[in-house]
Amino acid sequence: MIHAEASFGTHPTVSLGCGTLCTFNYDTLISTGIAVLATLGIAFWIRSRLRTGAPGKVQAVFEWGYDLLRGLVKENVSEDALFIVPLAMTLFLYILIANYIELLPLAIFPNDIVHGANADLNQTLAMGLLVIVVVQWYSISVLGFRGYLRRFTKPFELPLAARIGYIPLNILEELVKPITLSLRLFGNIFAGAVMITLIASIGLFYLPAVQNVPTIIVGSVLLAIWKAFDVLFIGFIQAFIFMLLTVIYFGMGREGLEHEHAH
Amino acid sequence: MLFLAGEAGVIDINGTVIVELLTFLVMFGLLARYVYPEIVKQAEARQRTIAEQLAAAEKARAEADAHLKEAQAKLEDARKTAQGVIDAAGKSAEQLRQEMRQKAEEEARRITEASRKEIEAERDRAIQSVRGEVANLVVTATEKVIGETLDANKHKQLIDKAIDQVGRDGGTG
Repeated sequence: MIHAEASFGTHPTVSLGCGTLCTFNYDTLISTGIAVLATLGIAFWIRSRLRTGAPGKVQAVFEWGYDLLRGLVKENVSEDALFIVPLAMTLFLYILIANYIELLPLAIFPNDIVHGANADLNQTLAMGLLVIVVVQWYSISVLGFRGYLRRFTKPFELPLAARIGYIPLNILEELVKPITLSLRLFGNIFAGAVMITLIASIGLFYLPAVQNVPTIIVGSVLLAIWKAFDVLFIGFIQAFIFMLLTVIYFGMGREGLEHEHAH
Repeated sequence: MLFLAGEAGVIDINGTVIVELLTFLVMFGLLARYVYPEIVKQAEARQRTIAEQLAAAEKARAEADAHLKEAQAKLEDARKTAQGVIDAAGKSAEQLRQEMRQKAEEEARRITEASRKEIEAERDRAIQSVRGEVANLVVTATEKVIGETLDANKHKQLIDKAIDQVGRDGGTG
């Protein structure tokens, strides 16, 4: 059942035999499961350490993050859109933890069945779609259906004829959002994983004169440096960007509200 | 149920996306139900506490300011009172000194006057007595010299007159 000969970057699948939608990348499912459990574990651990008095370090960081995110939402969306905070926080925390799992020596698992969960487009697309769907719902609930449709005639300053010409572009922009959101995260994490594999393979070079001991050392050092940069830094940045764009897309979902009221 | 092992390409989209979506929603639900309310509660409570403490600090500062002003006013008051006391004391001391000097001067003048009067009286008395003696001596001496009795009263007047003249000449001379 396990596809031992899987070529690089592909995913081993299981299928229930009813087409594409019944086919699952089980390596991603395992990785996601680990990331979800880790996220839940960390979140509940943090909850158990919450205190009313002077906060511990973890609590202080979390409260700081919460305040930051709340400020971001208030600034970019609106004072009453605080329901975005838990969603954005979950996205950030989950993406961060899923990315940081790559810090572990995942090569010890056979056939690459554990990887950073976001190295699979299916995973990132799921989150991207979710965000954009919720954004559409929010946009309609704030602007009304008419206002929502009117939003596709941006920019509002132009004469009507010109605005009609913009409709396809606006629809395209909205459709592209989940794709860019998911591809950006996927591309970054997948490329990082590719680099990790490539650097790790340096250790496999066999030089007859010195055996392969030096290359293993060089490979390990390079891998450590790369992981510190790619996983810790890029992993964090990507989680933050995903969260930030989520908030910004919600903010864009309100576009035209002022104009609508002016009419 | 049939399981078919296969392989998906790098960007192939399949049923995984649905499972991922559901997994994420379940996780989000758990976090939103059990974890975030606690964090929100804590963070909001903390912000409220901080705001309250800031307000309290501001109030305490204002109170301290008021106290300081009050104390300064009292200090200024006390200084004024003290200055008044010092001024009054200086004034009364000056007055006292004046009075004392005046009294002393008066006393001195009085004593001098009294002394002067006494001396004059003494002198008058001495002159009177000397005059009497001299007149008698003159009368007696004249009697002895001329051998006859003088009319004591008549001649005494003459003699006194003479003496007066002498005394005046002596006084002016």
